[in-house]
Order: sequence, then structure tokens, then C-alpha cells
Amino acid sequence: MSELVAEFERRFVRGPTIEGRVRQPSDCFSLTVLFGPSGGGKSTVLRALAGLEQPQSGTIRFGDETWFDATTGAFVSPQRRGIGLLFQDYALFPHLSVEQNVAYGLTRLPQNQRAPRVAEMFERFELQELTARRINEISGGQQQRVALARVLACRPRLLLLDEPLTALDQPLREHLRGELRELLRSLAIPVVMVTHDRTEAIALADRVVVLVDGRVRQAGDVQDVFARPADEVVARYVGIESIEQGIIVETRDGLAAVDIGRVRLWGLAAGLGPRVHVCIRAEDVVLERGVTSGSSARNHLPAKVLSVVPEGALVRVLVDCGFRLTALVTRLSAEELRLAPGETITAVIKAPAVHLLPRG
Amino acid sequence: MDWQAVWVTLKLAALTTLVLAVLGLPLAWWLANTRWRGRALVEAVVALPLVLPPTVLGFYLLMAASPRFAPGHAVEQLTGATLAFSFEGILLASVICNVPFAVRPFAAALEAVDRHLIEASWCLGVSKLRTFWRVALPLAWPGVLTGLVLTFMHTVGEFGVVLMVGGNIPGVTRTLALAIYDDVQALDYSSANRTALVLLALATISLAVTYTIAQRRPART
Repeated sequence: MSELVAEFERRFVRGPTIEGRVRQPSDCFSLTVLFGPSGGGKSTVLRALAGLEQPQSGTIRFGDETWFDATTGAFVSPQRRGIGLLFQDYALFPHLSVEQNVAYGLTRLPQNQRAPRVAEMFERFELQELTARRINEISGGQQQRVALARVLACRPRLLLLDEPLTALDQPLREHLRGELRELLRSLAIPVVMVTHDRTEAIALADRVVVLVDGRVRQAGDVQDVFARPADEVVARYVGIESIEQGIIVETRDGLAAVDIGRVRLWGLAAGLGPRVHVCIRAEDVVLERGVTSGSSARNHLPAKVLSVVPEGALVRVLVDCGFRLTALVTRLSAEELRLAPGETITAVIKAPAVHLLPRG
Repeated sequence: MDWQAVWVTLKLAALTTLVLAVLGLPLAWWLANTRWRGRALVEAVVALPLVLPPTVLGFYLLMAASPRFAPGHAVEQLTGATLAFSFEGILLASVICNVPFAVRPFAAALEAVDRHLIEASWCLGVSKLRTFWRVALPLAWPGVLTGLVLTFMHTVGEFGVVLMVGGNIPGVTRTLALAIYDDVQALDYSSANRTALVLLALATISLAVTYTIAQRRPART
């Protein structure tokens, strides 16, 4: 299988050392999210993949091409990597029109193919009315579309996105998140995306690489990383979250009934298609002894305790209620409930704590 | 009005500006991009003519141009002419004198161009040279124009180094600034006044126009 494999270190003089580790198929769609706090080195890793930063050690390979190898000194310039990089601020050329921006990178294309390619991009991103406008005359959402059109017009083999939705306001962001995943999937190329937004990471990623202070703290499937953080540092940034694949079977009174396997949960309906990610944060899960009655919470799930792991003042409890669910309770509660592996308890979750995200 | 001096002055200023546009823009682009530690030294050398008395520069250029020393000797061997007291000599001198007036505004304007725009262009497969022409230069244009006008006007007004290297040969190396000096020496105040007024008006108008243009087109959004 043809792969993008990057393992490198970028050391800054009198500054931090940033570690990059990305591995994914290079000939089909898959999305790796570089996740972590600001200043953690996410953008540096992205820039190194683009060829805008040169690491001091390691290698970057794309399929059978070597883009960077510290031992042989091999380095392929950004011009020759065939990548598309979408900057957080979009980096549109202010002295050019929307049309000139989109056509900018098509210099190697024969003259007679440029106009059709630009027209194709304009249609795909619904930019037809903006052709002659200047960049400062269009909105943030329009700028994002122009920037994507400009990058995709060149038919990149690898797409790099730096916080693609951060510059937009909240409602637009949520709207575009779903569209973005659809769009990226249709391109059938690998995507590496930087974000510090956990919702974005969960909704878009296949794999997550958690970068904190320049170090890769954890890398793996999105469910694994968010449900089973490798250590406390990762847990602090990702939160502990159970993520399951569910199907919405019914919507009633503003609530959506979601089936995860044979377990039914109630969450807030958000006008989504039937396939969803169901996300439940560990601190939103209440554990009770026996079968409860007279509670306002919508979800009462009988469960078996699998493990009990102390974490400072809290205890992380993994239970099986038809799917694996993580609960974060205080040490005192854990002692009072005499939580131990094998015990039977009830997991209680309020409907608003059952977060539903679209799944492609 | 000394029309010969007008011609020499305009020719000198135009050629100086042209040479510095060709040589100064690449140097400024390099300065704006390099992370090399020796950059400070290069910047210091570029700024040197700002603080050095023109006579010092003129003296060394005169010495260097003399066939008795290696550089001047080489020029004489190659072209059969000497640089001292020739138009080529004052052109060389004026180019060196004006390096800071061209390179510093160029570099400041090029440095102010958003790095992301340059990098976006590279990532779109456009070479570094073409990126300079298509992105950096158009966005830095007001600053580049300022540098060109400053260079032109400063050459028109250059006195010390032109006198040292070029002497004061009518039709060859006598510029308007020197003509004013000659008029004053000859007590012809009205002629000096006419020339001085023309230069004053030219300087004021050109700077006003430049700053207006520079203001109208901001380099960044």
C-alpha cells in the first residue's frame, strides 16, 4: 500500500523542538487531525509536510517519493511536492481578483485548459457572481471557498489544512463542518488538518495525533484517543469522551433516539442524517447503585464495571453498558459506591450530554 | 539655465535609478528573506553612505579609479579609459552613494509583504522568481516607488562625491548642483536662484506625488 510516512524533528535555535509523526494511505481519502493546544507545534508539522520548514532529523516519504531525508540531505521544494496548503488566514492575494486568485497556480497547465479548470472550480464552490471582486470585498465564508478553490484547482495529491474553520463565526462553522467532510471525501486524497477544536477533530478525523509542547503524546484512531487518552496530559486536552457510532431511529419532542448496537440513548435532535457519532464526556456520566426511579435524566443504562483507575482526586471508571462508557467520578463517590470490577451499577446520562455529530 | 548641466543631471539620475532598480531589488529581496547571521553586516554596509561624508567616499573612489591602483588599472586595461573625471566615474560613485536610498525602502516594503502570501504562492507550484514578480513586487510597489524617487532626487542633488570623482567638467560631469555652486562662486546669484528654485520645486512635487501614491495603495489588506 502506498503511504505518506513522516517522522521528523524540527529544532528551533533557542526555541522548542517539534516532533512530527504522521502515517496514512497516500492514494485514497483519509483524514489525520493534528490536535493540541495553541503553540504545541501543530502548524510546524504541517509546514514541514508542505516543505516550508526543513526538519533537522527524520524523513518524509510520500508513496515512493522521498520529500525529505536528513541523512542524505534530500529535500523537495514546496513547488514540487504537489500539495495544497490552506492557510488559517487563507492567504489570498489582495492585489488580484477572485478569478485571478483561483487561476494563480495554473501556470504549468496549457493555456486552453486554464479557463475550463477555473470555471469548474467556480461552479463547484458557487463563486460565479464573485469573479471580478477583490478579496477585501467578499465575506469570510466566501474567502474560505476561494482559498479552497485556488488550492484544489491545482489538483493536489495531499491536502494540508491549517485550522480551516477557525476564522469563521460559529453558525457558519457548524454548517461548513459537515460540508467539508463531504467535500474532502469526494477528493479521494489524503488530508492532514490542524485544529485545536475537539468537536471539529471528532467530526472530521479518522486518525488523531495529539501534540503537546512539541511532543507527540498519542496517535491513533479518533475513538481511541478521545475515549482512552494515553496519559493525564492528553486527557486534559482531549477530555475523556466515549465515542460510538450510532443510528438515529426516531425524532420526537426535540429529542432523537439513537441506537448504539442494541442500546438506545436519547439525545437532543440536531437535524442530522441517520448516521452519527455519539459523544459522551466522562464527567457527564453519573453512576448509581441499583435501579433508579424518579430522575429527570433520560438515559438509565444497566452496566458492569470493567476497571477503576484513580486519577488524582477523581477516579476513571470504565463500564460496559452494551458499549464501553467512561465515567469520571470523585474518589469519595467511588468509595461510597464500593466500585470494583465486576460490580453491577446504573449509568445515568442526561439527554443534553449525549452529543451527536454527523458521520460520513 | 545651464542646459548642458540639466542634461548631465537627468542622465545621471535616470541611469543611477535604473542600475539600483536592477541591482537593489534582488539585494533587498535577499535582505528581506535571509535568516543568515551575517545579514546585519550587509545591512550596515548598505547604510554606510548615509553617515559617511560624501568626500570620504569620493576620495576613496578617486583613489580606486586611479590607474596607479589595481581596480582603476584593471578598468584601464579593459576599456582603455579611466573612471576618474568621467561620466562613468560619477555614475559609479552616485550608484554607491544611493544604495541606502534605494535598498532600504525596497527591503522595508518587501519585508512588509505577508509571508503567508509568498508561501501560498510556492505551495501553488509557482517558482521563487515568479512569486517575486507576481506577488511580492506588486504588493511592495508603493515602497519600491518611494525608493526609486528618493534615489532619483538624491542623485539630482548629490554634490560632494560628484565633485570629488568627476571634477567639474561642463557637459561631462557638471551637474545642476555643481552649477549652482559655480554661479555662487561667480557671484551670479540670479542664475543660482533660478536653478535652485527649479530643483526645490522638482523635489517637492515628486515627493508629494510619491507619498500620495504610496498612501492610496496599502501594501497589505
